[in-house]
Amino acid sequence: MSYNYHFIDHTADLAVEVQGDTLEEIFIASALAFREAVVENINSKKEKYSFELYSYSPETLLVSFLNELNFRLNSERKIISSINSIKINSEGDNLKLKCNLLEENVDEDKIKTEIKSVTYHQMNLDKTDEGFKTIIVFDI
Amino acid sequence: MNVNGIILNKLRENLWEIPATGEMKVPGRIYISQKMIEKGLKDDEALKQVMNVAHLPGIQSYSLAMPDIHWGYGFPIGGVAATDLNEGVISPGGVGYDINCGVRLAATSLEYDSVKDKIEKLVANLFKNIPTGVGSGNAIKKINQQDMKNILHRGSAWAVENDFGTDRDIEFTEESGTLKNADASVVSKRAIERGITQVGSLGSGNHFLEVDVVDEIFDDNIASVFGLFKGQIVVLIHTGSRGLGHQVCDDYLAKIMHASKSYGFKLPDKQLACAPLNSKEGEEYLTAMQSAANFAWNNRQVIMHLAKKSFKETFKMTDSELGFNLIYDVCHNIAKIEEHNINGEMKKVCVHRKGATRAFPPGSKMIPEKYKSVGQPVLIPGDMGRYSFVAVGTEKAMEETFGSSCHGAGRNLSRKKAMQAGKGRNLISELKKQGVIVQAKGIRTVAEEMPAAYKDVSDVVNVMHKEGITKKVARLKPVGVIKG
Repeated sequence: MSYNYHFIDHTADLAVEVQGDTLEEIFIASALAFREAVVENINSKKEKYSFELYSYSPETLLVSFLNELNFRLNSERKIISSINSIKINSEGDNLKLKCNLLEENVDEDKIKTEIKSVTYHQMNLDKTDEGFKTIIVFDI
Repeated sequence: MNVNGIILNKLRENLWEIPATGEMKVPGRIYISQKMIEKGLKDDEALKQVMNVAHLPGIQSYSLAMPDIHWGYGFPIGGVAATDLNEGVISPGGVGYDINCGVRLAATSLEYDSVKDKIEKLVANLFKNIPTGVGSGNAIKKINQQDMKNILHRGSAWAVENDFGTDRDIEFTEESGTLKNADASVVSKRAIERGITQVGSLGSGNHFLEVDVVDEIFDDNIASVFGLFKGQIVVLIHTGSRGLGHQVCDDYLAKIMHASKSYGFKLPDKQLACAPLNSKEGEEYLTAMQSAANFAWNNRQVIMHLAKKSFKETFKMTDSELGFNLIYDVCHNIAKIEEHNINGEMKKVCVHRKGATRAFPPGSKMIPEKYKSVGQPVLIPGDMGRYSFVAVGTEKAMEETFGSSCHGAGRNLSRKKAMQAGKGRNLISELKKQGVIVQAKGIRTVAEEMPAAYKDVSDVVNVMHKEGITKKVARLKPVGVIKG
């Protein structure tokens, strides 16, 4: 298992490059990058949260996944802490994502960046010999 | 000129054309100086994005960019494109996530010299009364689902009916603060949930409320028609549709991307996903976008009311003594159905303005009676240390840019670089020494938004002035700022 991410300098928005052997690893790396981008160091009580999503392409699924995390932050003040399990399967014409994660409460003053949304700009999840690599641009 | 393989032909001093090549349906045209191209457009994708927009089905005349052009997603920021209503498309990426992000300018009867000792107190009251920052909200009474429905349908009219403004404010807002075809039923529950606590809130990032002094007048007559005079205190508000608009964009981008497979469009960037204007998806997005635009106008109207309340608390004045009148409210992230001259014929088109301001000329039916003789005010914020501008629309804007002009300075430094530049400095105290009182929710925002993080907005405004698209009317200098 090998995944990583690093932030790229972007004048107007926030961009991160994520890399993983599998699609699931890209999602884990993206979630951790999202956490690092939006909150200061926090460590509070962890709670379980599970959800399922369907979409028709890996890119739209990744955007929906990160938007779900952003919605949890905006409406419930919960930030993802870690992912316990994540599985992506084909189901008919769609991809199905099932995710079990741990999240924690975050006070407003610990949120350092408000992400309006996750964009599709420069996103590409075509598999190569080295696995998957994409840029994610967050609109802030 | 060749910029990273992209050919730019100089048409005028500040107007450049990218010829239509490959699958581009029209040429690109950029209003910008040679110096600004060399300084700001060599290291990013903004010019490529002007070319990408030219691929949109049904695009008319040109894919345009204003002088504050910079790298966005899908459209460049500063991009303008008009599409045919029958053959053309609407693209959520041509509006952006912050639907109807815009600027509102209110006058007061106060003169800086007589109130300068109270600016600190004023800023503290503004900061107390107007929620700022990430997820900020709960500025006013609890908004219920019925209120939200009314806000989405009626925009600023809801605020005025609920004592957050006057009928006069409606008259001086673009579209009277209400796009009539809005319909809350096409706005998702999730979007409403994100917006319901955020009515009357500024948010974070580059959004702000500024107390400014009119420090220079370029056109006495027009300034006087707008109600501006040298030394006057005015208020500039920059914000949009908050989480509600972001969610509407998300929802419809996903729907349109899914549906677009069946349209068979070949587009160079996924973020340019679009739907025919006469398709179900296109019509629904336009309706939802109009609802979000109404939410934004209502938001700025409520914030203006909270600002007025803060002025009254500070200066112990009545409404008539304070003269807190709206000069104008314009949006700079929107798609509008408007009539324009296309190849000699007047026709209705869908004008996408992504980081561009409407700039209608004297005589336009779409502007307040009071401004008919001079044209529509165009509000162009700069950064919190230097200045912002008030300009006015011209006939030339109608001829060349679908009645559009620039919208701001554009960033010079990424947020990360700005943070590095601000490290170890007390920016709030530095700005205070320059005569600007700043109160912000986070020190981080002040660093990210420091004046040096932005280009000089006067370069941008001067390009449009020299090309005759908008004329400069007045310059505003900040003396008090609240931010997220």
